[in-house]
Amino acid sequence: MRALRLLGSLPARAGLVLPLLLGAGSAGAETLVFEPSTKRVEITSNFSGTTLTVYGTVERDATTVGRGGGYDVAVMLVGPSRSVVTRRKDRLVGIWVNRDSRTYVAPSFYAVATTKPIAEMAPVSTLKAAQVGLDALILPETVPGGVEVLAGTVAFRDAYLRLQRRDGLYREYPGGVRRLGQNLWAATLPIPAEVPVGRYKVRTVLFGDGSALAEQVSEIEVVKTGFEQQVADLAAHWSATYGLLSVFIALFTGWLGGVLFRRD
Amino acid sequence: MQLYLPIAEWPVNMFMIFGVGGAVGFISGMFGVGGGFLLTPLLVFSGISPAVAVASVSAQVVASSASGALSYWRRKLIDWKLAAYLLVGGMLGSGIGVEVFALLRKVGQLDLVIGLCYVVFLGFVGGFMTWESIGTILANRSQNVPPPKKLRQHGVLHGLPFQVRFPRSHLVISAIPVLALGLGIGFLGTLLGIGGGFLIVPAMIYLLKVPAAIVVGTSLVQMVATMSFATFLQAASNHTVDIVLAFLLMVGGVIGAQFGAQIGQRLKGEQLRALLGLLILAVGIRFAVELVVTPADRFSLSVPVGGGAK
Repeated sequence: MRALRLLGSLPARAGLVLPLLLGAGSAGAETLVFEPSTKRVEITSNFSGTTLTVYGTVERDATTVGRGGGYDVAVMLVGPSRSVVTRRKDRLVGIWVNRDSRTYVAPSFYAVATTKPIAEMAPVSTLKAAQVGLDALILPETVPGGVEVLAGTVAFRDAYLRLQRRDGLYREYPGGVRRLGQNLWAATLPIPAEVPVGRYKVRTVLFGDGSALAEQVSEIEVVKTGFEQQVADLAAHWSATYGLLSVFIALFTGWLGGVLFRRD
Repeated sequence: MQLYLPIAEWPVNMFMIFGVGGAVGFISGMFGVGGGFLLTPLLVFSGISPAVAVASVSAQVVASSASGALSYWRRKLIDWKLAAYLLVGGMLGSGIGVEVFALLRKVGQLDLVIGLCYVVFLGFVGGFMTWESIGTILANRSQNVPPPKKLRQHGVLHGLPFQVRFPRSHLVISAIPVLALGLGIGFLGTLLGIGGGFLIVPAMIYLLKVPAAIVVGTSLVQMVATMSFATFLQAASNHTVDIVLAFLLMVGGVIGAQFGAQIGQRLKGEQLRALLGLLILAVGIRFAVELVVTPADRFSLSVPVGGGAK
């Protein structure tokens, strides 16, 4: 188990602060300690997805007040932010054309596993403040023309979340956190093959009596390795060479095919 | 077997891509067209972003055209001078195409423009080819052979200045329509991720009056060069060529093309044109339906920069 990092690691997120019952490090507060099963997910040529397991405990001391309702834990795997345009087709002189759009700067990947259905863990306001669950996700929205609005358009927001869910990039796994003992838990988060590369945050939030009690954040990275990495690097940094190489490979393959299968 | 594509950042079934390449290669070998107009939509359908599909297919078109061109070269059925003229126009068109492609992608209308172009060009070319070739087949069958058209018909195209002699094609024609044709094909080819064989072959036969025997080999040479240029530009400026994807398509395509070519040689010219016409028409109609029918989902996502999925 890694050393405790107490409560101070919540990233600045649109000015939101997790409403904590007690200050960091104060006696009496529960703390979360966890460790992901890997720090590095490697995408190789035959990568078809994997599973991230996170083990953790809820630590308490003698002065911690008892919680009648017990604890709930949410474990989130949050991908690097990227900008995604959501477009809506409308009929224009008989054909369907992309008209209106909204741009979201949002996590490229968001999976959350919880001990029970998210809505049953805490009130909506608490979930929103703690940023747990897809419904709570803050999606700052840019309308065409570049104006950013914090309270987005419901239809676009819903469509964005629905499409990300469909593509397997946004997921909720109620029951994905199992209790292994009184204070010990394990979370299982499937990582699909379509996972974007980059640095990921593993966030855990502890709930009790409908409040968020503690939060811990750690990082893992998802990287292309070996051949995939070399190809991607070459294409990005030596694009002219890569282009020439692509053309050469194409010409050579065509020529070889013509020679190998020559029948006249 | 799953294979992760490094530029598309998308896992695909290797044999599926290989098979798609083979099937399209078969068609391209049979008709002497690149097959890009079938391949690009198929790839987009399997989840690869249109940008990566278009760029990678251009690399595949290079391979399949090179393979075909080689066999026409051996049989000396290529007009090199004509190919060179088409190519000059093609390079320019390709350069404009890459720019327009990037611009359309940015404003989110790439799919619409690709769809509309497919409907217009495939519909028109497919319809014309089908109509013309079925007419010929019917006329032959009834033994009512129409009087052969006077060769060397001097239409409007032939009255233009800059007359150039193309000895291999027994043709004297203005350079302007040749260059313009090359430019148009280069532009559309780059924009739509197609070699443009289905456009240039009929155009050369019906507009430039190039002898049919020379047309396919010459258009293949032109395609190899134009699409090589397009591949390079897409890789250099848009970073969207996935060489792993392209290579799978190439291997499948080159193999498929060999078998297609065998079948193609056994069919008569008008039969080939009728079949190709119907195929082109079918793809065009499919795109038209997609534009008109209410989509199952009116919303779509796209990542503005980079070659990532969606």
